[in-house]
Amino acid sequence: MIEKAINHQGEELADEQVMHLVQNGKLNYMELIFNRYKKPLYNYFLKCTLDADDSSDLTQIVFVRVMKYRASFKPDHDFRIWLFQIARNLVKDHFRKMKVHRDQFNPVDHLPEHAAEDTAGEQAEREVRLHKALAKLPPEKRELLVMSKFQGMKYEQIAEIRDMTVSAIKVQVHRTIAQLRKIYFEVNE
Amino acid sequence: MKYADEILIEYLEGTLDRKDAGDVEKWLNGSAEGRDRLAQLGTLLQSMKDSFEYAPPEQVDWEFKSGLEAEIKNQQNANSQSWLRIAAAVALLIAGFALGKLLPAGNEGAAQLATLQGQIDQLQQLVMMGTLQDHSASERLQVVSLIEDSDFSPSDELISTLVNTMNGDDSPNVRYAAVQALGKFLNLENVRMEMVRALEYQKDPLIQIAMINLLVQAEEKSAIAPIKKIIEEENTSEEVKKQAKIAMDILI
Repeated sequence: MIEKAINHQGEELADEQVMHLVQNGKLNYMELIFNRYKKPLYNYFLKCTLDADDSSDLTQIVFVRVMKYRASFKPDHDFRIWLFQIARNLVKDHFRKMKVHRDQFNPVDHLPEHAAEDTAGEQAEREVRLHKALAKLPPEKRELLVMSKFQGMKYEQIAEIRDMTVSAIKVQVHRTIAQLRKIYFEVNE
Repeated sequence: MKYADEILIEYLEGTLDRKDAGDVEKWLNGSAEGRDRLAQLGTLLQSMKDSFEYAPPEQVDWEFKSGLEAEIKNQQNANSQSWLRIAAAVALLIAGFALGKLLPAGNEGAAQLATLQGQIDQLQQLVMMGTLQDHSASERLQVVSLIEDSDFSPSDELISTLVNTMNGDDSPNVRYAAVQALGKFLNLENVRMEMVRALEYQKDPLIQIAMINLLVQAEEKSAIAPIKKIIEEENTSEEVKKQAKIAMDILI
């Protein structure tokens, strides 16, 4: 199993360098990509879809697509952006399919149990409340917050993924937080 | 003067310049409502920051590993197939030379060779059909890719199995690959007709676009009606609509 890859200077290989190896037939280096991104991707899907089972499937499908379309990745591009473009397309497809039975869906019932011991009590309650509020946002806006606030992406990166200007992304993120505040605190204005 | 949430968020994120931040602070000193909103925004931003990071279930690891193994095997097969093809070409050259010497001259010898080739193709197609029906998604994908790469004339049964795969395989990747493989046989009228029929109920945008492009390449006029329907359909994705409109311009 490949857990780490080091270059001549003793530095860990960047994603783009690892993908270059994968493109050149060293497919087992995909494990490195998988280990780096399985958790961020799973959590991205989880916050976007609010469904643990679907998030597992979608996480798996992203890596299948990365392997299948590996030749189309350009190593001078940002791998993370390419990866999240694939993930974002899957989320869009997911919601197209979900459209039919979204009414019967209660997102909070579909979240995974958290393994950590210190999650009981107040923090767990806050988490449920946050998910309930997120569920009330339209999927597009929710995804924007997931990228910005949960995945810690820069506005520049989100702008590239969404093919929009940085200032437009910034405005949308701030507006969405403002909207979420009203939902979270049940403010009627 | 009342500051909107958007400005308060910038204040909390520390992205306002010193003067603007100072103005916000002055305003906050005199506005209880502003301080409440600021506190709520702060709590919200903090709970997003503290939100749980869930570990993906182990099933994701297992599935990735089996997918990777299949892909590695796929690649090894492709590599060995290249060598096999070279070896087969050399063997055929030698066999051709030997047969030329041994087989009766003229049409009879050529007919025997053609029969032999036909039997090999039939056998290969039977194995492929079996794999498409009851094997794993990665194996099905591998077989569909093999069909796309091979240069035999497909039997009706193989075409029909590929059509069933295109219409009903569980995996979107296999369905997409089946469309691409069928694209190789668009010179056959029944394949074009099946693709036109399938276009009416395919909902996956990637597959819809692949089908539209192939039918345009084949200049299949009977595709106009389902393509028109796709354009009119409310739920069709914008990218598919765009491709469908281009296709209409070409086909009409």
